[in-house]
Parts: sequence; C-alpha cells; structure tokens
Amino acid sequence: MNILIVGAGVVGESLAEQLSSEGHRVSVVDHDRKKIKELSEKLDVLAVHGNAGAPSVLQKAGIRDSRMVIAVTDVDEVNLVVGMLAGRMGVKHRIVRIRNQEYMQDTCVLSLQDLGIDHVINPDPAIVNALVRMIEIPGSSDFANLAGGQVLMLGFDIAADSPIAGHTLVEIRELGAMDGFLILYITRKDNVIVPKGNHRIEPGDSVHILVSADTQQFVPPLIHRRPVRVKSVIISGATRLGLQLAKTIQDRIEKVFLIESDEQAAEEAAALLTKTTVIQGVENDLSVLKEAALEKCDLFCAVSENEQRNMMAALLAKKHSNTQAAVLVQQPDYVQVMDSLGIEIVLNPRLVTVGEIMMHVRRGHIHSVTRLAESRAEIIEMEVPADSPAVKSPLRNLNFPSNAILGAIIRNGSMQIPSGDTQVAPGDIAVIFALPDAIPRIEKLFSRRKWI
Amino acid sequence: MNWQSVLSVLSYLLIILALCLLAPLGVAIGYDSESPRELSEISAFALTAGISLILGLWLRIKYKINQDDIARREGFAIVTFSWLALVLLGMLPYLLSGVTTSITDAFFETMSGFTTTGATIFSSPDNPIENIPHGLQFWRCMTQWLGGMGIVVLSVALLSFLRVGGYHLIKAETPGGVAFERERPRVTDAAKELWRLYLLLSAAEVLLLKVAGVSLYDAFCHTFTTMSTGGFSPHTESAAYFSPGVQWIIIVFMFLAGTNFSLHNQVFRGHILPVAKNLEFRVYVGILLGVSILGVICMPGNQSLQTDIRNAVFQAVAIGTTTGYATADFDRWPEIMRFVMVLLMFCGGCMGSTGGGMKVARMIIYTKAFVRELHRLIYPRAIRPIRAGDKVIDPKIVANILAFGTVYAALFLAGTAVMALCEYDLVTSLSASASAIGNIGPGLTKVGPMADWSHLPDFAKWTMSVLMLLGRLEIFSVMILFTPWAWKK
Repeated sequence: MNILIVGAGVVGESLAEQLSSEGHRVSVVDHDRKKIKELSEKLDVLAVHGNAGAPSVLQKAGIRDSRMVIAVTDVDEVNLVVGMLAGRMGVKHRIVRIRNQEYMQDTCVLSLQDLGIDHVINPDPAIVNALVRMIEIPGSSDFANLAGGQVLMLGFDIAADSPIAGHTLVEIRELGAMDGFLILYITRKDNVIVPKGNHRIEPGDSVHILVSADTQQFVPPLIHRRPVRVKSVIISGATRLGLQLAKTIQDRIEKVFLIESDEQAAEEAAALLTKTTVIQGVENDLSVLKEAALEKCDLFCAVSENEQRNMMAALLAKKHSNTQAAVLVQQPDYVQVMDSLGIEIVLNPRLVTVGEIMMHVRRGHIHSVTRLAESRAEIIEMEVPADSPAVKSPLRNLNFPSNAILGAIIRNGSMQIPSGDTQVAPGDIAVIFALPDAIPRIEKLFSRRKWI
Repeated sequence: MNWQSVLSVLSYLLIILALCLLAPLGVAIGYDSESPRELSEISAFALTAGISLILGLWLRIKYKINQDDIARREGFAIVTFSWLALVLLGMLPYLLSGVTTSITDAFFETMSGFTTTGATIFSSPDNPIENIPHGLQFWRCMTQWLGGMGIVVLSVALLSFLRVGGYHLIKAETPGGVAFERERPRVTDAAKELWRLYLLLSAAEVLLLKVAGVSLYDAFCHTFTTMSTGGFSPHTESAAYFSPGVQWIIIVFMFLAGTNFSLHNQVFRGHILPVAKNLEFRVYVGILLGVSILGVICMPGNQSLQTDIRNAVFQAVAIGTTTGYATADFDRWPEIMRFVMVLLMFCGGCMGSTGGGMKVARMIIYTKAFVRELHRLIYPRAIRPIRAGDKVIDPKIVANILAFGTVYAALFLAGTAVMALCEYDLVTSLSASASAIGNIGPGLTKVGPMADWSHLPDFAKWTMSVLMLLGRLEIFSVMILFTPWAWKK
C-alpha cells in the first residue's frame, strides 16, 4: 500500500521505519531539510522537503497514488489541512493526529466529517488512562488494555521481599498463585526473556503479566507484600496531558499538586482545576518541590514538553523522597536510559500513537501490535484466521517458536490461559508475545502476511 | 566494513552473471557448432557460467545478509568489488576459448566492455573482429549492455530485500550518483523503472533495426552497444557497415541513451513541457547541434551534402554521448574538428543517462560557479545560490562537483603521462587518456576511430583499464576504498 506520512518527528519516523519494513511504499514530508536528508539515507522511503500544507509538496510526495495519509506534524492545524487536502485528492484513509480536545467536542462548529477526516489519533487520553489505572492498581508500573479491555497487561517491578522473588515459574504455579494470570515476559537488565517453567524470577526484574479484567484485583498482593496505595501525586508541567491527568485524578486522590513554571499557564491551570493545588515555580528547584509536599509524595509525574527537564525533576524528586516517578519521554534513545536511572514508569506518547496508527494500517485480523521500546519484540493481538496452520493441531504439536509465547486466548468473551493441549479455534482472539527472531514463524503460523 | 553483507550481495551478482552468460552460450550453440573453434567457445561459456554459479552459490550459503548492515561504506565496497569480480569472470570466455592468451588483453577488453568504453584490442583492418566467433562477439556487446544501466542497479531491482541498502548501492554506481533522486518510495521500484525503460528502448531499437533490414544478430549486438553508449561493433567498419537509414536509427538511439532517463520517464507519463524546459537537456541538444553544424562546414568536400550531414551528425552524437562508433575517420578532419572532438569527450552525456564523460550538468555548474565567482568580486556579500531550473543545488553538492572536476583533470593528466612514458606522441596520449576516463572508445592518431588499442604496452593497458573503471564509477566510489576512512570502524 502507498502511504504518505506528513511530519517526520519521532512519531513520523517510527511509523516510516515500521511501515516500510513491512513492505509498504512510504513517502515522508517534512519542512526540516536536515531531517529529510537523514531519513532518505536511513530508510527506504521517499523523503520530500517542503511545507506540508502546500498541495504541490504533497503531490510531489505522491499523494495521488496514496491509499493512506497520516498527518503527525507538531501542529494540529497543519494536520487538519493535510487531512482536508487528502480528502479532496481522493485518498481513501486519512489519519490525523489532533491533540487539542476542543476539535473533537460536539460543540465544535466544524465536525471532523466536514473536514474530511476519518480517523483522529490522540495519545493523551490513552496515556492518562494508563496512568490512572497504574495509580489504581497498587505497585504496577505499566498498563495496557487488550482485547477491548477484557484482558489487561500489567507490569510490575519485583522487590526483594516479593512473594514470587527467587522462585521458578513451576514453583509459583505449584503455590497455586498462577491460576488467574500468566507471566508474558521478564525484563532483566535490558534483556527481554520469554519465560519457561524453570526460569527463576529475581529481585530487580520487571515482569509483565496478562490477567483477565475481572480478576485483576487479586494480582497485586501476589507480587507485592505491601503494595503502596497512592495518596499524594505531584504533576509537573501544565501541558495538555498534565491538565487532563490532574482533572481526572483530583477527585480520586487525596492530594494533587501541579507545578508549572510559566505564570500565565499556571493561572489558567488553577482556574481549570478546582481540587488541585497549583504551584508556580520551576520543577527542578528543590524548594519548589518541597512546597508541593515532596516528602509525602507517592507518585511524581513529570509530563512537561521538555524531556531533559522531566528527567532531572524526577531524579531530584526521587533523591529526596520515596516516591515513584513517571516521566514523559519522546526520544527513543532516551527511553532505554530510564530503567538504569531507576525511574519506574516511562510514558511514551510515541509508542502509543504508533500503536494506534498501526492498528488502522493493519486492518483485517490483526487487532493491535505493540512494539516494546527497548527491543524489537512485539505484542500481537489478533483474531485467528480460519485457514491458518495454527488451528490444525494442539499447541504442543505446532512447533511453536521458543522465543515467543501465546499468552492468552479469548474465546466467547472469556480469557483462557493456554496449555500444551489447547487447540486454537478460528475466531479466537490470541495475544502473542514474540521476540524479533520468532516473528516470521509466528506470521507463518497465523498467516499474517496475506493480510498486509 | 561489514564483509558478510558485501560478500552476500556479491553472491547474488555472480548468480545473475551466470544466468546472463546463458545468452552468449545459446548464440554459440546456435551458430554452427561443428567447427572446433566454436566448440571451444561453447565450453568456455559453459565453464564460466558454471564457475560463477558455483562461486555465487557458495558465497550465498556461507554469508548471510543483514540489510541494515549495508550503509555508505559497504555500498562503495560492494559496487567496486562487484565490478572487479564481473570483469575478472567476464574475461574468462576470451581466455578459455583461446581468442587471446594475454590476461592483459582479456582484462582490457572486458573492462572496456562493462564500463561501456568501447576501446578494443580485437578490431582493426589488419586484425578484423570478424575473426572472433559469434558467441564471443555477442558476449562482448552484451557486457556493454549490462554495464550501461549498471548490473548493480539490476540487482537492486531484482533483490527487493535490500531496501535502503539498495539506495547506497545505486548512489555508488549510477553515473550522476550525486544527483540520484528518488521519485518512488522504494528504491527497488526506482531501479525496476530504470531497467524497464532501458529494456523498452532496447526492444524498440532491435525492432526498428530489424525492420530496416539488419540481421537479428547484428540488431541485438548494436542495440546492446547503442543503448549503453558503449560502441563495440561486430563489424570492423563499425556502424559504417550499415545503410544510411540504419545509421540514422542508431543516431536517434545514441541520442536517447545519452539523455537523462528520468526525462524519458516523464515523457512516458505525458509531461513533455518540463522536458523541453530542462536546462541540461537543452544544452545537450545545443552542443550536439553545434558540433554537427561545425562538422558539416569543415568537412573535406568530396562527398554529397547528404553524406556530409549524416557523417557530421553521427560523429558528433557518437562522441558526444560517449558511444564511440565511427562512420567516418574524424582523425582526418581539419585540426579544429579534431580538437572539438576531444572537447566533446570531456563533456559527455546527461546526468542519469548511460553516457560517460563529466556530464553536461556538471559543465553547466562549472560555468555557473565561475560566473558566481566573478559576481562575488564586485558584490562580496551577495548570496547567489546555484540553481538547476528553479531548484537550488545544495552547496555541498556544488563543492563535490568542483572537486570531481579537479580530480578528473588530474587523472586525465596522469593517464596522459603514462601514455607519454610509453613513447606515444602527445595527441595519441592526450586523446587516449581522455577517451578511457570518459568511457568513449576511440581517440586520435594511433588510437583513432579506424585503429585499435592492441599495440599498447601492458603497462599502458592496465592504466587505461583502471581509468575506465574510475570514469564509469565516477571516481569517488573507487577512490574512497584507498582511504583509511572506508576501513576503520
């Protein structure tokens, strides 16, 4: 499929890389000449320099042959214009990132249908939602909805006193603790491990588990001896995301502080948020943090636009309190550093946006693909096609790759944890975790190729 | 440098070469396979194909490709080593069939073939090319056709898994690599498009030549060497062997082969106007027209005007596009015309064509850069970008082009020095060096259009072969391998 991506920021570049490696014909437009040059040397894509709002530039990038246009520049309005132009030029699918909620409200004078846009992407709600769920589920440091919310993927950092630390998976299963959930993968010092029965879980690991939505409340006590209930939160940065987060949690959490350095932005935030204490000051100034009751803080969320400042503020906060930290990071290269800095939660709008867009690209039986930040491992959620080799025999006879795991199948609305005897049926929703070298084999088993 | 990937890409190239060798093998079998000479030729082709196939498969099994590993460094290495490997294998049929026993001669002839130069060892009135069996002649012409659009471009077109690696390969191989601009999202599609156009134009020429009464064998051989602007011919008289009508057909296709292929592409898509407005194309047409008119005026007048016009146009186009056919001995033309012919050798065809030389676009940029320097003397603070049409050329590319000119001149002088060292007169030395580095074919006096290059001493032949490769790969791709930067991690 010919796909035109407008905007070569972190999201645009990630998309271009992923789509072109999947065999699509990708063009990219951006106004930054250097970026364009770099892209055309790095990726097999047509990179065009120019103002994205100009029809001539879009035509040079081959908009007329494109079946999909993805507008992900930093400016909502440019994205809107690109979406409109694409509609006029007969592009079938138009995906536009719009972060200003106002465009999406019913009261908006112009509806998106008027503008000829069929899909709007906004990573903020998904991130706010994930953060809220992490606050609600004690001890969790990652969260994702799968299968329309029926299955949750939760991440936990294993403390030394955790009930499961030091045990192998077989032992944990014998304890009877593993009936309701499955360990999908383990992250140990930058390495991603697909767990086997004899693998031992060590303190310092981070585990990702799959659990049915209705039984998730039983999981945290199994993993943490004394899970911390979040009572006090500091949000630094009155960005769109920060405001939305504060607005969502201020009713559920005892104490919410919002730190913003810009006076005008701080005043506007204070007007909007009735139950939040807004403090005007620089977030990486210790005295400002102390004013926001840092010593009682349970979760410090650094969500300003400046990722270096986010990191510094989080490190400072952690140094002077026992708080957990969530940091917003866009740069793929920085994401990898966060774990070694001891920051528990990494908020990555890039991954969320790319994930949402990939869902639209991979129509058909694949519901979602999440790529892990640290490696090229993928969590694939798909409906099993009737003609695939996977439905022909029970799992143990399938020659299932050892670097992948079938984490869960959802049949008739209920989640099952598969064993060797399980036979996948057509129409089941399967959640699969696969390391890069196992992905081709998984594609063959579930005949994904045909659908791209 | 990642050798795994370099050797892995090389393996595919060798397999492609083995398949290509089946064509001359077929020709050799088709022409009377009774005589012992033809028999040794058949076994020579079969053996060469076998060797390259086995070598290719062995490398293929031994080395696995990782497309992320093909970056700039590997691109240059793959291209240069591929060309050397092709020449080393491509010369085997000459040696194995016993046409020549000299490795130097076989190497020179094959290098001259793949680089589309057309300078030959085997074709002079005393030693007519017709002595060489059909299959080998066919291979000799086919090497030019493969080298014309570039066998590396062919492999990028066929091996779609190369992805961005393919971009680095094409940039390192195509003449005008600096200006290689993608119009398609995938490099493999761009390469396919180039080869599709090349095949289409070649098919058209074969058809027209056949209709004009040329034998199928000659039609193929001449198409191979016209479309690649190579210049080998299975006749000692070169294109003069054919009727005037056929010569005009060859003129048209030489002209098309020397034009930027992206312009052909635009014409096929129905955009005529931008082509007519293209500055390089206009200058290219202007130069060829000017030299033709000058040729008609200066022509020694003992023939009809019609013949004079045809001869002048043919010689101008043949040298201007760096094809190097000859229908008249321009070595006997007035001195000024001989000089103009040497000048044409430097100018060459358009960027993105199969032609050699320094390329018309570079000449335009040299002129513009010179005018800019004059302008700067009076307006030292003026910013005056160099444009191609309405597009500003990146100053880094301008700098690259200026450096290219300097090195080109230096190499040309070095080649001349080697020829002079071998006791050749200056006119021969200068024109031979210009002809080799510009991938033209004939020069003047002792290497003139009616002579061949067999009398050169081995040392000079090797030097000229290296010049041809440098000229075809536009210098930098080869030179970079002699720097520490290409090898250090």
